[in-house]
Amino acid sequence: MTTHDLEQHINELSVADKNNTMNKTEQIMPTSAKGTMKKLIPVLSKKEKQEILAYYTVYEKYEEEFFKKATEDLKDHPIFGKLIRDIPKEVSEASNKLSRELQKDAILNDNWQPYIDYQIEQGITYAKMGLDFKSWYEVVSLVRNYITPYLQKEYGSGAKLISSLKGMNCFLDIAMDLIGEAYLQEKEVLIKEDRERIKKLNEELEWNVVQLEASNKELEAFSYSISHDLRAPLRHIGGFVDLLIKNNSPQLDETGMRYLNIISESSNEMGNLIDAILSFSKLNRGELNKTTINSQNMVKKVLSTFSDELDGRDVEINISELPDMKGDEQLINQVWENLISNAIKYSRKKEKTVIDIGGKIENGEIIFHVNDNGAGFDMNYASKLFGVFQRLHKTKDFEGIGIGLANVNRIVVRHGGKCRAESEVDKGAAFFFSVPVI
Amino acid sequence: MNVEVKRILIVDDSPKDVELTIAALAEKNLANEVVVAEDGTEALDYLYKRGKFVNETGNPAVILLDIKMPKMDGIEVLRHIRSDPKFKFIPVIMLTSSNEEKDLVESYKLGANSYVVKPVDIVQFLDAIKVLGQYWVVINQPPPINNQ
Repeated sequence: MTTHDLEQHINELSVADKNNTMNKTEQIMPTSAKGTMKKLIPVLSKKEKQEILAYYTVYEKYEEEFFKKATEDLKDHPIFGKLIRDIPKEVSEASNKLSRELQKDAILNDNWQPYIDYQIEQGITYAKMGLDFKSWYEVVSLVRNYITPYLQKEYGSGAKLISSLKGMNCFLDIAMDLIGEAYLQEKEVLIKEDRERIKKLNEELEWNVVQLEASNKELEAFSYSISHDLRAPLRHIGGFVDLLIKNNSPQLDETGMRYLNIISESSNEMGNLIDAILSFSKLNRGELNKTTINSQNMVKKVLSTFSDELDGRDVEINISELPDMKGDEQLINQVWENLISNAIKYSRKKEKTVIDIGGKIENGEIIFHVNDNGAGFDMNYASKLFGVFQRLHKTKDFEGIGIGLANVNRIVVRHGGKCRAESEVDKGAAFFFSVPVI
Repeated sequence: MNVEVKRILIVDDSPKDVELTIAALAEKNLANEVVVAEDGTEALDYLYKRGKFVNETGNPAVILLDIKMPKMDGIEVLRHIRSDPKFKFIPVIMLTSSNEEKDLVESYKLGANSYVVKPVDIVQFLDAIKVLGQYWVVINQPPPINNQ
């Protein structure tokens, strides 16, 4: 046989390798995952056993050498290089020793089971590590390439060489098929487990959504009926006190009148609180009707509604660039209304009111601000700022229920944004709200 | 000109609310001819002159109709009234305890003429009547000068 023929023969064998001809191990094809993979001993003819032996004799003789060479060449391999580096030397040496012993036991003593078990473990491990099985083919090709020259050296180029090459392929195929099949089956198991996990998570999620929807519906019905049921007695208190004041004033002294007025005011206040709660809870209802909002126009319109209140005051309002934004027009209008109303209210005790309104785009968000030079608030209580019915000022200094900022926060959060505020007592306050750009 | 006052039908299940409404109407001497129905069924009884109203005559000039009532609610009463040609044109003012949009839309959809939030403030009531153009149908003759 010429060298050329030999090379061609070797090449053909390499190609067969890549196509993973399941020749020898078709008989020992396992049928299910680890633990249930049927570990059958390969059925080998006498001739095949001799061929494998011819290969193995040479392999054993030069084992150390090509193990060193293989490690050297695989150092830079994207997957196995990393493995070689990460696994401690003692571990890889021990593992290699075991592998060689099992191989020897199988080939020389016909004790295949331990070797088979070992290869199956390899396949399962590769699957669990998420390694791509294609890479393993590359390694085996490398092995063939190392061993072949040594086989040539020992057996020359005749029939003995061919025999040993056949033996090498036969043995390596057995190993490959075992590892391959174990790998595939384990992969299937892993995928199934993942699917189950995802299914469970989805079911939990769906259940939570159903519960949440039911809870929301309950809340809606509850707040609707509260509005009517609480208002009725309140209305009667207010109505009959008014009648008392109208019809019985001759019988009432100053104190009596004062008491009646306080009762009347209180029931009005309670009515306001109920209205505030209701409109606050409404903010979570319904779909957001998102359109492009011209912030400049909206702010100007909102400001114009406060013209009466600003009448007679020394006021300077600076509106810098306001980017357009995407949002629910009605709700965002409320945000501007509340923030501007606060700025105007809390700065009214200052000789000159200065209000700055602006916005800028930053990191995919539009951050708007409304700054005033008014009474400001104590930053120590900043966490209470956006709470329902929370106030940081006395009602006798500045009237209010404490629902405005809670509304602002609810609306902004629903739009996927955040609220923030900074202040120094008596030096004014800055309120920021952000919304995502799209 | 002497315009005879016509009847005002109040349909409301809350006696306290009814008392407040009548007190408000009394402020302008409109309470002389007020008929009270305590729920939807009684309201229809009055219109059809049956039940406890079997001896009554004439249609009301205006109906003040509460929305939230047990059994037949105000919206249903309105539906009945508007579907009968005899009563279709009687002005109806819905009385409600809040500005809840839902109710508002419903009442206007079925042909209510106006909407007043309780307690009925006399000014509110008169405005509603004016808007309806029924002012002169309902209003009493002006009180004699020595009663002012």
